[in-house]
Amino acid sequence: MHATRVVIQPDPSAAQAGTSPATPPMTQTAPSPAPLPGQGEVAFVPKAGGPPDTSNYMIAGYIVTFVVYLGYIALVLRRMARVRRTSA
Amino acid sequence: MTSVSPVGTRPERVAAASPASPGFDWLLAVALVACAAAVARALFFTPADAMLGDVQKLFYLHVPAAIAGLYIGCPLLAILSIGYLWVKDERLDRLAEASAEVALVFMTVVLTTGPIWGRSSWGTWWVWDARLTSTLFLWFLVVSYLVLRGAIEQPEARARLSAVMGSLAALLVPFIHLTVYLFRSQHPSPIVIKPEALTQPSLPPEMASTFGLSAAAFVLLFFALLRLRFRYATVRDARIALEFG
Repeated sequence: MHATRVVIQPDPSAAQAGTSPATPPMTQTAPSPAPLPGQGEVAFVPKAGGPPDTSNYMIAGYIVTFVVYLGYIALVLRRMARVRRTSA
Repeated sequence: MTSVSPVGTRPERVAAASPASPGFDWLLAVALVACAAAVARALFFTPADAMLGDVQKLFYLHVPAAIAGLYIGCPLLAILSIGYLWVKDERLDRLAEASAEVALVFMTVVLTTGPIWGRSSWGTWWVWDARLTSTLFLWFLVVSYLVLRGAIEQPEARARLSAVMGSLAALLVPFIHLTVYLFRSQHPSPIVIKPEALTQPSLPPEMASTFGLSAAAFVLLFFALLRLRFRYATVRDARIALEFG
């Protein structure tokens, strides 16, 4: 998945050409097209109002991952213990 | 399972595969500590994405699982299967079996974290685009590989037939990687495994370092699980050889 880029500085060449956007730079957000050379970009910056609250999805994903990995480890250890017990 | 491996599983391998303290594996312990550190760094010390929010942190689980399961596990399965067909060494067959099962676990993580992320960022759990569908197809292929192994009782035939099937599994991996270029896909293009990754990195340093740690930790976990699963297969086959040989 992409890290979304947020433009925080308008392109100076675009401003000279009269195409500078009317919105203030800090509130101008856009999914990144190919970055122009010299264009000021950062990968993440707080938007006005902040990003959406998607922490529940994040927590769900981490829980599912832990269950899958730890469940598999428990399964293999259980199988191993059973084989050792029967072969002892 | 009532037959004995014709290639002969030596009983002394039971002892070789059994560590001094049963149930404890140093490599697995180190891998789990590394994964815990990577998760802690991702959750508490890495900034959230400005557009997607916290759900973007699934990146540190989803992509490492894809690297380990798809780009390491499946090619390893194919290489070991071809190796078995060539030299007929039972250890290669057991290692192929182990790599298939562990790769399946990692692909399961890919196929569960992906829809959760997609639900948040795309608004839907699943789309039948080429990347997702081909990954699901590979998952079913590995499942069928393991089902095939369980369905054949004669060990040599099981090893030979499953090796043929396993050697075909890796053919899908380059196709899956290229689907986002070949087809119009909702899934984003690769941002880590791409030719210009070093000259034009897509991640800022904070995210890149967390991703590097996470990828290393989960790849280590993959090999720790592979080793554990291989040990289990060795002990199991040796026990069968002792009982029926």
